[in-house]
Amino acid sequence: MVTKKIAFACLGLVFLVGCKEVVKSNKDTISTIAPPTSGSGSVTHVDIAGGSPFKHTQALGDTTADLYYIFTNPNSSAVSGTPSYGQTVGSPAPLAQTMETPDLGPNLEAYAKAHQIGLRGTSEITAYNASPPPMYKGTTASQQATAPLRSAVGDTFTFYTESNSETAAATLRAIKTDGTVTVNLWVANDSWTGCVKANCMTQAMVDALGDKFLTTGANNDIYDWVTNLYGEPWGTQTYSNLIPSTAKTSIDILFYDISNDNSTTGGILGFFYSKDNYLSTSVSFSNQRLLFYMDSILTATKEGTTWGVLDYWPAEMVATLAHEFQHMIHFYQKNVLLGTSSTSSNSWIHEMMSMMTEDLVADKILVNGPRGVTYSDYTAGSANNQDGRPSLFNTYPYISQAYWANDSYVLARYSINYAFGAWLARNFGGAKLAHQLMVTDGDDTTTVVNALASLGYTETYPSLLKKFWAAVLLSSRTDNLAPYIFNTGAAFTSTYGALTYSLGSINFFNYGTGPTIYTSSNLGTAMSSMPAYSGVMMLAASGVKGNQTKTIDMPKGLDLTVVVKP
Amino acid sequence: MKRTTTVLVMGLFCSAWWGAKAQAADLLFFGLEAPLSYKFDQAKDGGRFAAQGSPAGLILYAKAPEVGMVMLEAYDVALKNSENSKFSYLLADFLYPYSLPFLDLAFGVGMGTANLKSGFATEYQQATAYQWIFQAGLPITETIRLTYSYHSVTAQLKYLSGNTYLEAGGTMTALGIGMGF
Repeated sequence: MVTKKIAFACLGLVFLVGCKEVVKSNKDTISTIAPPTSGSGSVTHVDIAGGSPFKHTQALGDTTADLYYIFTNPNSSAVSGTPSYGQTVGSPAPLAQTMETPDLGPNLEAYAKAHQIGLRGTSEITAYNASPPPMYKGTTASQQATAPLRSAVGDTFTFYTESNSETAAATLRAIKTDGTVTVNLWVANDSWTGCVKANCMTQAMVDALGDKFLTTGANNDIYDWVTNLYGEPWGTQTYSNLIPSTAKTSIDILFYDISNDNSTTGGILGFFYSKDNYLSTSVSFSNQRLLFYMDSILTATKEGTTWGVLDYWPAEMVATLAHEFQHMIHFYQKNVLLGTSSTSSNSWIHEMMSMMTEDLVADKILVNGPRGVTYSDYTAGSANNQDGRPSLFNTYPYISQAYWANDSYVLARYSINYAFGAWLARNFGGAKLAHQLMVTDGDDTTTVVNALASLGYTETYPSLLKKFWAAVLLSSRTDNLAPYIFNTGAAFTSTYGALTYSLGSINFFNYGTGPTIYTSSNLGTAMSSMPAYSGVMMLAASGVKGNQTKTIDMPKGLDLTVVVKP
Repeated sequence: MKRTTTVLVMGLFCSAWWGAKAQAADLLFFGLEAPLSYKFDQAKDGGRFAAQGSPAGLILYAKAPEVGMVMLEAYDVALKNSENSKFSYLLADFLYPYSLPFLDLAFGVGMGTANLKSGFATEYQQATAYQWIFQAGLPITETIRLTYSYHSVTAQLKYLSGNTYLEAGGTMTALGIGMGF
């Protein structure tokens, strides 16, 4: 009796299990809650919120191509977790590199010198310029008494440099003018001919640098090219603790051994310090003038047996003049005229615009610029390029784009902001966009969106980030359409005012081993979250065609862009 | 000495179980179980959902002599990697009990519903859930049983805009206690 009951129960179980399998086998079951998505073409921006795995099918057609996923975090804060995708069985193992933490050591300047890197500005000065002291409405007697500076060659003056206790006694060595504006070129006495430093400044050097910045005639110097884009570095203003409006006719450049490091291999090339735009009654170590600081040692460092202004370090100094001049104009146009308030974390837009300036004038100042390709060569150059900002971008393309901190990533921050600015300039109007960025109030992501809107482009910051990284991946091709263009194989020309500016093509795959690209398996071990305003590029499959379906799991808050690259 | 004591204690327990069994067959039992785990079945796409921790909910049952056992289940299974998403199950079951000298057994079937609680809930249709169940009860005393149940659930939720189904089926285990009156 017992045996019969047990046998009956077992038979019943077998029957029930069998029924279950029959029910299941009739249905096409899936294991993702989010509705499946699909796309075709070379770039697909997938409209789906993360947080739940979903299937994505990309129709590649009959042409063999590589399939990439780009995940971007458009938020102002990090998103925990990392995206991943299910591997297609039998697909080739994607190439990848491991994520590294920059090791710049405890001292950025020391690192720069060891690696022949030129720095523009210092962390303290960058932060100061982004968040300058308060300005007070009105005029004062001391302000009116500060007449335009009129000097003569041979005059001496002791400048405050980086603090109250740091000074440089200097002599005016040259005066350049275009008839409207005057540039006074000062050289620290301990850096002039016959000095005991590694390299000493000479009259020829001062004249050459001075002529690059300002010379007689129209549209033939940095002052003309940069002010055409952004406007004047000084002029009418209504604050009582700033230097008077009349100071606009005179710019001073001080050459001295910045940081007193006597370095001929790199370090700080120069800086603009907005404290000098304040009266000394407000900022005690102000020199009360429009002033750049340039490193005398590197300026005087020759490449061969004789010094030339296009030798490596002198050429870098010329580019530094353009870079720092943007900062000078930025302070007046934004902080003084528009009343823009900013924070040090927004320094990214200051630096992006300065590097955009270097890029736009590279072929005018005859310096290669941040692109790292010969200024007269508008193609994307050749493979294995180790120069320019893109090389470091390729190593660290996953850091925050719209964020600045003077941490161990600072050189990488320059690089990603150059790359982003270079993409904006090549797809959204070039010189016109540069101008709009300057005249649009604000120093943040909204400023970029508003500047683009004023030129007729409807974009959001999330959409810009998605398109930027897609353009990076597609930069090895010359047949992309805007806004995915980095590389046409020729120049990008744009006109603002009376001047035309040319930008060279960029192929990120020409720099080093190309952009860092991850796979599902190594991204998760490389990072645990996606930084604010960041993106990662992942190779999902190489050499595939037809419909490619994968299960994608991305944290909520991320955006997905699919790129197909033949 | 120690071994002798252990054997004596075990013998006493066995006698208690045997005796308990004989008398418990005439008792009305009520019990409750808490779900321990839920392992989803593999879907046709090759993947399977993963539960985030133990299911949340309760299982109630009543067993009457010569009638059988009824069971009511209500529990949610939160999904790993799917923010705020969970499957919610509500089932009623009938089981046929059978008592061995030292163990109470029950086999049965159940039916109910499976729902998705998620931001994507409106994208899916409620599913009818089926299951077969096995329960084992270990007598602790004459009137108390420690119970363990195993549930094999079948449930697929239809995607309203397509012909695919979410694979919500799987196996659930629960542990509980029953009391005879």
